[in-house]
Amino acid sequence: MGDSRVTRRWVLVGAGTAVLLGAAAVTLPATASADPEDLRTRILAGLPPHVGYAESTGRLGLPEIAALEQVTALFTSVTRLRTRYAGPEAWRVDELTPAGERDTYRLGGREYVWDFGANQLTVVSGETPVRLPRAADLVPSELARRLTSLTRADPVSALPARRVAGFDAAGLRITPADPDTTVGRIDVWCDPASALPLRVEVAARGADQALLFTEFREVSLSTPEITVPTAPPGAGEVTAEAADLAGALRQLDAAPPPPRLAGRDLVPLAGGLPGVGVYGAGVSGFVLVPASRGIADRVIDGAPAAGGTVVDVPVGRAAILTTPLLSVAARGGIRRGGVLVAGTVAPAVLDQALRELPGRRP
Amino acid sequence: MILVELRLMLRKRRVWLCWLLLCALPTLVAVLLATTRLAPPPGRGGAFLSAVVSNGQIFPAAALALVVPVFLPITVAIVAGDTIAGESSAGTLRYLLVRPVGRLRLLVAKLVSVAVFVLLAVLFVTVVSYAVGVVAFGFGPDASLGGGGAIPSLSGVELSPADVVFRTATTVGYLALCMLALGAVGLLFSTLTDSPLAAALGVLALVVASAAVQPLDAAAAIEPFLPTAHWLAWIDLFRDPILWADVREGALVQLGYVVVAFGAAWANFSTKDVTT
Amino acid sequence: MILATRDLTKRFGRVVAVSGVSLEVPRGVRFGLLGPNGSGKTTLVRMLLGLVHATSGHIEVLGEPMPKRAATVLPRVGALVEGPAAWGHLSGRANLRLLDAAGRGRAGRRRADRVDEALDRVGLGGVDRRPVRAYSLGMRQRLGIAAAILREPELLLLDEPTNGLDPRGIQEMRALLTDLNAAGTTVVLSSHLLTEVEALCTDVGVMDRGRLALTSSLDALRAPTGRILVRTPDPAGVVGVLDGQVLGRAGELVTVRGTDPVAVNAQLVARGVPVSGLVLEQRSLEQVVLEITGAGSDRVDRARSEGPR
Repeated sequence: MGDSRVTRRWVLVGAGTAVLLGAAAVTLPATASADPEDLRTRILAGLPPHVGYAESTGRLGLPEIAALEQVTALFTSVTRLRTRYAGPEAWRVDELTPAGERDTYRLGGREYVWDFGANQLTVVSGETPVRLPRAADLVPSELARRLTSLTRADPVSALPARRVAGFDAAGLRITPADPDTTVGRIDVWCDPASALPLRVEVAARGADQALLFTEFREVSLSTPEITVPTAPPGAGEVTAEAADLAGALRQLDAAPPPPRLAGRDLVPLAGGLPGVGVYGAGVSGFVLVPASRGIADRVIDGAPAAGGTVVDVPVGRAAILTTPLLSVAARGGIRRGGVLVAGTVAPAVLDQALRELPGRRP
Repeated sequence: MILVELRLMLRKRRVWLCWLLLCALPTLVAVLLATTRLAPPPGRGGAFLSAVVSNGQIFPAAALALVVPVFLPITVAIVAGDTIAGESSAGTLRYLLVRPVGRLRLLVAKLVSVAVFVLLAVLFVTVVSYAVGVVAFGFGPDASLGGGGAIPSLSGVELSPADVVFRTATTVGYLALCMLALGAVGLLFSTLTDSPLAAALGVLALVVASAAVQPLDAAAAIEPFLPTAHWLAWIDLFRDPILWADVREGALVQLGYVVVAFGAAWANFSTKDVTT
Repeated sequence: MILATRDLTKRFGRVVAVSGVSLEVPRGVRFGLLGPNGSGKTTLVRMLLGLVHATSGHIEVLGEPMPKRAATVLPRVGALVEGPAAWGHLSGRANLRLLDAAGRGRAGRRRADRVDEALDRVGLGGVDRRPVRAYSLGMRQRLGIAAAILREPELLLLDEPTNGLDPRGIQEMRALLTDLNAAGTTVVLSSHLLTEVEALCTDVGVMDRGRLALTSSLDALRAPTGRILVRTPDPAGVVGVLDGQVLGRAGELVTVRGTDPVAVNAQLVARGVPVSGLVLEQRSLEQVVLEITGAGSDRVDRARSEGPR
């Protein structure tokens, strides 16, 4: 008598638990389909206004690079993002940290950055053609737009539909053709009606698992109102030029980038930052950034411990840090400074670039 | 039985000691910060601690962030682990059961008493730390005469006093729910053993294991279901506008824990042989 | 029957604590459950109260099946199980009030009176607000009994009720239980103390290694043995007079076959043999119990401990 009662109660509790877990894990089937080529065209045409909350996960295994911790964190950890997008010139993205947030606003040709931790509002004027990656780039819609525009010529195919943030999302896969890039595939799932990208996955060539994926957890296609932020009482307010924000990487008196590196031409940049050069196109390009000698040296010194390799160069020292997706190289000992080279290209390309860099200023 | 249980709890010295210690830790931190004025740099140290020095009204948030990860779970483990096992080891369990008090009713009363304990614990920490914060650091930069300066949200927008009260009340309720989930697990463990200490240590082992597994990439699939996964989601309540996604998910997961743990406690306890 | 079990068995894992016990206790008696330590008395009492669930068998208390009808049966039963227990941080009075309030049935105003009355009856009427933690063993025992009689139960189940009491306390408890019994309460107590059961009970049951070895009324147990004990300063004279009837002789004590002490006395006095004492021999409870029970579980003999496990 007693034993059967025991069993019956536990069966009941077990069934209840299973139902709860099932309710939590169950997802509605996804059936959406759309012509992938058409979908890509529509993504490139512009993003619809939307408000959402997204989570991005990076698993690049990149070692921490001195003075670039904020950038490497984007590729190695989970970033929580909230976005309000009214148009290319009116949006706000909040990077949510455990004990604060860093909000980037774009409005009327200006950018505003509110940092709760620093208790400071920064008003940024001007724009640079090249800048460091930031959290706002990881919002699924923005990342999809950026990546599709870098791979306009690459072949695209359809993917099975998927449920994302309550949407029945149609998928497309871009497979970069350039043999030099490390990017194996870029998968994007969109709301087929509005072409709003909801989820993006980036995987290295030959790898199964995505190393970077970002997804809306909730999103609505409403038009938000973006207003100019004001610093609360007691908080600081500063104004900065966009070019200043290169911060630690900025180097006065940097040598102009060579016109050609590792078989790739220098892409002409409007405006411009001294010493910065972009080589090649799309996901098989890389960027050259002048860095203080200190930073370059720290990267090179730390490379062996972080699984990097030391490269022999005619003058100075150099090293490459490799991850399946992103390669970062540094060269130091060039008279007064050094350079960092980074891109989603095979390490061999950066290796060649490092060797070709002139050891002395012309 | 519920009223009896509450009266029993409120007359336990251990319970008051737990509340006292919970309020003492933030007070100690406030005294240290106020005397040294050495706030941790932004992004380091406890959440909100860097902002507290300029506005004492934020201190409740900092105090909750201080006690939630370790201190509060310890007190919940002690109190919840004691529920059934404590009566069992004291021998009073058999007298309650032959009084008779139905076993389900006893479990419900114990769960309610744990709920009251955690709610009062969170509430006491909030109220005490508000008072301590204001005394130690003032009402903030734009305090009008007689205090009452504005409180900024994490997004930099100032919050109205009514808004602050609403968000704080929601935070208290949410954290109490998180701790109640732990308390329900403690109640389950308490029916499995006659030793209150063993039950409390079991709860702490769960907290430590969950906190250890949580940051692993390999555990990403089960991460949302870990008991500790959503303990800090209340911080989202102080963004502007409020970000409900994680709070909602957290509340559902914690409710799930309460239901499952209480159900298991019931299944185990209703046919358990009471031999102490 | 106020209490009846049929083939009641309880196993804890591989240990059989109670085995096939069929016990019946009529209403109105004072029943003593005897047995050495570990003979299953406490487990049996716990099963009667629904604290321990039987592996097999059937229990009826107050005519209703247990533990199914615990909610209606237990309010009419008072119990003391394996020693008293109380919340140590509260006073005795607060303990009783809270315990009373914990069950169903609201009687807020009468509760205080009932608690005071129960405390009076067990001799704790003047107890102060000291926490129970500071009570002596005897005071705790009295408090435990007060809790058991608090609701004027029809059935009192007391496990070792005189534990920790001094001789005067034992005397008081005995009087209290006899009074309650006279007023209609059936008293069932378990004890390993024979004298206690002998002094108080009208009926006994004897447990041995999980089995109910015997149930009987005390009077039936103590039936005459057919022998008369004669105490005399002249044992040889007795042997001379009652030759053939004498069964044994030890100092001044002579054991004689017979059932009529008056006749024996007349015979001896007529022959001028001085008699200083004369009594009809009855079986003692101790004899009975020792006859039918084995060693208690607290004794571990070599042969048993080396046996297969």
